[in-house]
Amino acid sequence: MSELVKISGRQFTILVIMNVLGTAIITVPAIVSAYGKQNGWFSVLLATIFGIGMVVVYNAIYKKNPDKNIYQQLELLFGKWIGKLLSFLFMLFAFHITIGNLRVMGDFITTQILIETPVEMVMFLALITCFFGVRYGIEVIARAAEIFFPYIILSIFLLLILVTPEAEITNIQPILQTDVAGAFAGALPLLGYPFLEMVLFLAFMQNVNNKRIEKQFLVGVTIGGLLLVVITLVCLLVLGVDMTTRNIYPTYILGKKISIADFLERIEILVAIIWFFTIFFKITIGYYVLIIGFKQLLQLKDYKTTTIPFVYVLLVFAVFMRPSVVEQKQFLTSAWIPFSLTFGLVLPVLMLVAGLFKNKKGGQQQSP
Amino acid sequence: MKRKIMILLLSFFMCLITAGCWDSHELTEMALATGLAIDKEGDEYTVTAQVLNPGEIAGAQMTNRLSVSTYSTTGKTIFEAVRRLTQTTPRKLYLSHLRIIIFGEELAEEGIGRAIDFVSRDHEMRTDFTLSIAKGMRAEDVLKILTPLEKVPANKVFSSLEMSQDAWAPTKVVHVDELIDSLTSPSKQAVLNGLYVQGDIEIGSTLDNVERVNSPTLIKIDHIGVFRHDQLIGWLDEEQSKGFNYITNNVSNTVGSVACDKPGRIVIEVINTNTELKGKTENGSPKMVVHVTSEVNIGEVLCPIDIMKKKNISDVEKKVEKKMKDIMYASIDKAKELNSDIFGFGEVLKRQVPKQWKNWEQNWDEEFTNLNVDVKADVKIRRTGTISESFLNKMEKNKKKDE
Repeated sequence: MSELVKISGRQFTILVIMNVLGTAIITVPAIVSAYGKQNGWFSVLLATIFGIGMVVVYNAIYKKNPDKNIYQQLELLFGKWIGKLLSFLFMLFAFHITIGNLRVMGDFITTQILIETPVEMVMFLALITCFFGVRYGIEVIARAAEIFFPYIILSIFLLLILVTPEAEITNIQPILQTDVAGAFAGALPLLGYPFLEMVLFLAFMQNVNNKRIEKQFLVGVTIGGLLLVVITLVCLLVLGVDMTTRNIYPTYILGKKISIADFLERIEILVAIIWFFTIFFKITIGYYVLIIGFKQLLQLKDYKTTTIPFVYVLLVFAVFMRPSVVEQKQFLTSAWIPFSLTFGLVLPVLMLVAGLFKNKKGGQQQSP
Repeated sequence: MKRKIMILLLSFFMCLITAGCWDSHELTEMALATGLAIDKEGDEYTVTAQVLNPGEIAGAQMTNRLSVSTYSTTGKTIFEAVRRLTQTTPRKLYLSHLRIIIFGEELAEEGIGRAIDFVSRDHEMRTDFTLSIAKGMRAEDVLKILTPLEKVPANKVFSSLEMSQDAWAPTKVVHVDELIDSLTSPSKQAVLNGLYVQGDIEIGSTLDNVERVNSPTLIKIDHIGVFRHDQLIGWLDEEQSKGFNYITNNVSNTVGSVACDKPGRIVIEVINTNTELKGKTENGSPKMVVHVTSEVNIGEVLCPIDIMKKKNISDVEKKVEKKMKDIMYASIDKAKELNSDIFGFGEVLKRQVPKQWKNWEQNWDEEFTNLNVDVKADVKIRRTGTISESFLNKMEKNKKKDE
C-alpha cells in the first residue's frame, strides 16, 4: 500500500470500536437471546473474550512483518501463486462483509423508515458515501471516524440512561442457572460477526503511526465488546427475553421504549444515529480492504481506478445474493460461522505456522 | 471553473435524489386513527377506525362538524380490513397515533391471538397504546360514542383507564408487548381490562350527547377480564380486580373502607404499597408467599371512635390488613376457579426455584389450582388527614342530649 498514509493510534482504536458495533449493535440481542434466553448477555461476554483472544493472534501476525499488509504477507509466506489464490479468497471474505452490511442497512431502512423506497436506491446512496470515503483513502476515513465518535458514544449513553426507568431485574433472573448451555451456543454466531471480522484490520494495520498499535487494537475490541454486552443486557432488562428475541431490530424497539414523563418520547432515531454512523465505517472498511486486495492482486499502481466499478459490483451482489431478510438472517447464523472461522481463525493460524516454518528455514540457510 | 460547475451540478442532482420523496406522505393524505375496534363476524373481522377530523381539533374556526368519525369494514384479516377502509375513507389510515385497540367480547372469547400479529408486526404501530375488551357488546359501539371533556373519545378512554388505574386500582392498563409476553409465556396468563357503554348508543353517537350537561350515554371502565391462552374465560369483580392489582404490585393509590366495632365505617386511602412475591418449595410442591406492605392515611371517619388513641389505630390497621388479605384471597380463588395463572406465580417460581420448577412446568395448570398461597399484609397508618377527632362524635353527643 501507499507508504505515505498514516493514521494515529487513537483513530485506529475508534475504527475498531466502530467495526465491532457496526451491524451487531442492532441485531445481536435478538440472536443471542434466541439461544441463551435471559443469559444472552453472557454469550456476548464469552464472544468478546474470544474476540480479544483473536486480536492477540492478529497482533502476532502483524508483528512478524509490521510493514506488510495481509495480502503481501500471504504472498511472502505461501509463494506468489498460492499467496495470490489465498488473497483472492480473503477478498471474497471482505466482499461478503461489505455486501452483507450494505444489505442489512438497506433492509433496516426499508422496514422501519422508508417503506416504499426501493432498497436499491437506499443502498446506492449509502454506497456512494462509502465510495467517497474509500477514494479519499484510509486517512480521511479514520479522521471522519474520530469526528463522529463522540456523537455515537453520547447517543449510546443517552439511550442507556433514558431507558433505565423501564428496566426490570426480574427479566434476566435466574442469572446463569438455567439455559447455560444455550448461552454458550449463542456465542457461536457472534464469533462470526463482529469479532472474526476484525481480521480485516490486518490489511492496513501497517499504516498506523503508533508503536503501541497492538494495545490499541486490544483496547478497541474490548470497549466495543463491552458496549455490546451492556446493550444486550439493557435490551433484556427492558424488553424481556420474548420481545428481544422476536424483534428483528430489538435495539430500535429499545429506543421506542424511551418515555420520560410523557414528554421525552419517540426519539428512537437516536438508535438509528448510532447505527448509521457505525455501519458506514463498517461498509467503508470492507470496501477499502477489498480494493487494496485487488490492487495487490493485479499489481496496479493506483487503487483509485477500481473504486468506481466496484460500486456497481457491490450493489448488484447486495441485491441478488441476499434476496430477503430471512435469507440474510439464516446466512448469518449458519453459513457465516464456518465461513468466518476459515478466514478469521484458520487462515491467521496457518499464517503463524507458516511463518514459524519459514523462519526456521531462513535460519538454517543463514547458519552455514 | 469547470470543476466548480461540476460541483454545482452534482449538488443539484443530489438534492433531487436524496430528498426522500419516494416515501413522502402529506398530512392531507393521512387519516390519523386514534382508536381501532376489532369484532368478529362469522369468519371475517370487522375493523372500525376512529379517525380524527383535524380541522375540528386544531382549526381556528369551529364548525358544527364532529371532531372524529368512524369508518368500518370487514376483511378476512385485520390488515386487509384496514386497507379496505380506503374504499370508504378519502385518506389512508395512519396508525402511529393510535391510543386504544378494543376487542369485541365475542372475538375475545374466540381468541385474540390472530388479531395481534399485525399489531406487533406493522411498522406504523408503536407500543404505547392500550388494549381492552368491550364487555358484553360489540367493540365498534364503544368507538361510536362522543364524550364530554375530551374531544377525542379514544383519548378519553385512554386517560380514563390510566387515571382509574392510578387512583382507584381495580383497573389494569395493558400494552401490547405485555400482552404478547403473557400470551407466549407458559407460566403466566393474560388479562385485559373491560369497558362498556352505559346508555343509548344511538344518542351517544350524536352531538346531542355532548351538548347536555348530563351526558345520557357514557363510556365506562369495567374490571379485569381473565384469559386462558388467548381466549377470554371470565371476569373479575371490583374487589377481585383490586386484589389482582395488589398481588401484581400495580396499586399506586386507592380508597377502601372497613367496618368499625361500633356501627359505621372508617375509610382509608392507600398512599403507597409494595408487594413482594416469593416462591418456595414445601414437601416437593410449590408454595407462594405474597407479602404486601402498605402505607395508608385515614380518609373518612364515620363511626364514634377516638382515632387519636394508639390502640384504636392499631385495631383499624388490623382490620385493613384482614380486608386486604380477603380481597387478595378472593382474587386468587377466582383465578384458581378459572384455572388461569394471571398473577404469573409460575414466572416467580421459575425465577426463584428454577431447579424444582422443571418438575411442575409440564402440568402447571394442575399445580396452580392446588397451589398453596400464603398472603401477608402489613398496613401502617401514617396520617389522619387535616383534622384529628371527627366532629361527628360531638354532633352525635349533642343529638343524644336533645333526645
